[in-house]
Amino acid sequence: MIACKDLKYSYPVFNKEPGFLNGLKDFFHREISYVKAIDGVNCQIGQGELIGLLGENGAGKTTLMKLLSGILTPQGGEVSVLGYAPQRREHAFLQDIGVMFGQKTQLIWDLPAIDTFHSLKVIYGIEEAAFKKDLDFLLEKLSLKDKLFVPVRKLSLGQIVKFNLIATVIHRPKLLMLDEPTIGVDILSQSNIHDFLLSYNQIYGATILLSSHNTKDIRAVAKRILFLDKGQVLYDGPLSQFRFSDNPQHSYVLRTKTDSLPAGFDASRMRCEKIDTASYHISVQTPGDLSCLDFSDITSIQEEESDLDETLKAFYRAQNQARGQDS
Amino acid sequence: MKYLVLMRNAFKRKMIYRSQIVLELFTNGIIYFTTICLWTSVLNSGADLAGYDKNQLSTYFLFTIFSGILFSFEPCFTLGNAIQNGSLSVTLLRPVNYFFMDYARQLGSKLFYILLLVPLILLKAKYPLSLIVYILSAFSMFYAFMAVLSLVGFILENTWPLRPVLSALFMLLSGQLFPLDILPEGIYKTLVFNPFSLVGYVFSKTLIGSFELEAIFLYSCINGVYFLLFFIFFQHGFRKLIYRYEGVRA
Repeated sequence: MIACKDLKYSYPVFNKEPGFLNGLKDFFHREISYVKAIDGVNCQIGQGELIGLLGENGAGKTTLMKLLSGILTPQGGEVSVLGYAPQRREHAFLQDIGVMFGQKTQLIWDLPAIDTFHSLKVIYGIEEAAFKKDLDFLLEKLSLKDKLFVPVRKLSLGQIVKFNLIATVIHRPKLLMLDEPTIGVDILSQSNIHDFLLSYNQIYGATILLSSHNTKDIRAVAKRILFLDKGQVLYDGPLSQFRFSDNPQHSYVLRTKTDSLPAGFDASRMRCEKIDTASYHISVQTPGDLSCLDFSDITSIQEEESDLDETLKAFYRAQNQARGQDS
Repeated sequence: MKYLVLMRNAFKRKMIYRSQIVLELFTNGIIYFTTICLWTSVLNSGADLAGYDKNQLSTYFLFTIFSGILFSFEPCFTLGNAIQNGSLSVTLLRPVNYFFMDYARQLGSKLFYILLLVPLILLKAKYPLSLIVYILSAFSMFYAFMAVLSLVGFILENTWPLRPVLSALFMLLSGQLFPLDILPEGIYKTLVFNPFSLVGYVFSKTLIGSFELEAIFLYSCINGVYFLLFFIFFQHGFRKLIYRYEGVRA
């Protein structure tokens, strides 16, 4: 479905020192430098996958989405989406993708959302019956039925975001790319959006690429993470195994035969918290640290998913510290 | 069909802001009044303006000033604004051609004024159908011309500095300041075929009934040739320059 090979993209940036004289100097001689937004990204995404894109501000998440959707043209490497070169923006390719940037509305500002949907129906050639069925379903799911005929400029941010989501999926694209799809949205609607995306993926086998700073979105929808930093993929794997190397806590739920810790428990290598009778929460640096336990005392051991928020915070703190040391 | 829907939406948008239409007509009404006062005083001083009398000048300027509303510079700035605020990204993601999409929008936003003209043409014009064809050909030509100019939006951060330049060129070359046929014949024959003149002077003279069918046909064909040239230039330029677009503010 998606294949990136050594993908590269840089933005030109004009450098100017503060001050009047420097402003004058800049007028006659402008200095340009290039920021590597995407710096050799390699990845393969199959059909039906649910991908979470994570990274700090400026990591390259949105730029990657723009490259995959054809808004930007790669400056190096290769990219193929649905068998097409996205930058050619062939109509058959555009018919099969749905892209939503949370900050950018696709609705006609002065008219009600229904006018935008009618124009999308014609642009994408959606059949009347399918259009009506999908629209009714989405309006019900996102609690927007009574806002359909209100001019978009009169709606709240959350309502606009929800309508934008409808505009993104109304033509049943095979690939969905969503950048901050729950920004400004109330908690019930966030949950409804998560449910909707999961059922959309199940019913239509669509691939969903989701970027969000709200980790609830990622935890609810994504099964695989692409973690970007400075335009490179630092992690590409299951969400459950996503950990930062300086915070490699592996957490387990241990169920024991008796209401006491299993023999061999080493407090210097493990942290333990009792959950209830014969049930403990154990954290270790590496899975190998568990080998000291007497497994004959244990009835079951189950690994817990890493705390995504803590993992991200640990990484960002480390990055800030590194930047502070460099400067 | 998709472009018809876009045209319809643009028409709806225009009709929502009634005060905008009223203000537009009012502002141009003031310009018309001022122009008539100016030329009346010129005529009263005894100047000979290629045989124009006051009534003829009044009618001429009514249509040339109206042409300023109908044939607008907006397409020149639409692309630049879309590039600057990032809304071009939304357009690039749709299976539509940017040129025709914006053409449909511009036509929809001017449909009100075209509909104002149609009854007048049908009732008063000698060749009503040819006149309607001419108006549509002139609209298309001027849109394509502005679309070509809009490509500078990929290079300049702000395109608004072009506005006074275009206004000045329009006033001088379209016959909005004075009828072009008062100029010496050599200059007149050179200027009359420029795109501004075709939507100003020629448009006005055609509506007045100064041209015969052959002349209307000739000018419509010239509009067609210009449209084709500008269209090809725009498509090629857009394809070459789109790589400069960074999709900002998304």
